[in-house]
Amino acid sequence: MSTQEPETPDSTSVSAQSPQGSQEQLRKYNYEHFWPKHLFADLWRSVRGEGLQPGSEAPDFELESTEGDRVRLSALRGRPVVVHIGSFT
Amino acid sequence: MHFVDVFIRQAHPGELRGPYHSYEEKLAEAQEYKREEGIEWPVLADDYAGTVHRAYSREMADPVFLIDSDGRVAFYGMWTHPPTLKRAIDELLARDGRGVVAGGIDRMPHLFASFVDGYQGPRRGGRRAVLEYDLAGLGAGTLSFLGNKAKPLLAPLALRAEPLPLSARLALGGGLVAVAALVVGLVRRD
Repeated sequence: MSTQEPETPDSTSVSAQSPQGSQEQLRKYNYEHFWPKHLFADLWRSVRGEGLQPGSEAPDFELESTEGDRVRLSALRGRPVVVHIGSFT
Repeated sequence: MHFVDVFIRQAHPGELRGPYHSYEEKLAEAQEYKREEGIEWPVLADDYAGTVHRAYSREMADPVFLIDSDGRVAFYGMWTHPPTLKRAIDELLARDGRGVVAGGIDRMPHLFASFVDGYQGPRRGGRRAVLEYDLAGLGAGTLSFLGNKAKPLLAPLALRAEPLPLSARLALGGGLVAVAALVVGLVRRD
């Protein structure tokens, strides 16, 4: 399996600390098999409540939409926003 | 209210759909995701390294965030559950769109809803994805398959948009206890 580094930065996101990651990290993130460790990791994160904490500021991001627009979270401020994170499979 | 979906890596890659090899591949499948799921709001593709995904939820497979009017996290559902999200949204709107609502964080895996409505993911990955889900979740793939079959029956309960009223929850709890007592009674009789 080959993982190729995107030639151009695909999107700017999440403030300054946005390391693109090594090949190894990219391969691990975009895993090829769903192993028990992936499920356990999610369960363990749930036990610890990992992720953005209630009351904290949501890091800004700008991502490309399927329509080709660039959407910035902070541009939606003024009204509540539901951000759902999901995958195809 | 605004709604956005952030599209991330494959959760259940398989022989039909493997992991993405580039951002372009991911973006293309985000279009398919929007179409197939019938999502009416913007679907945004996360970058190839999953920067937003990791920053927001570490790597939770299906989380949801409710951001208040000031850009702060009002509610974080670690395993998206529509009735719980609906309760959080209603509470936030009743509070002028500001503050922490519905206890702030919901860590429950909501397995019932996940098994009734969670088959399409691994199914899109293919047989291998369903099998791997079975291995990882001690039969989770098969339970999702069966839950999907029983969807017409279970959907009103499992996939309701509104939280169950207290009376319904008590009735349901009482029913479960009665069934359990019946089963225990039958087993003991032998």
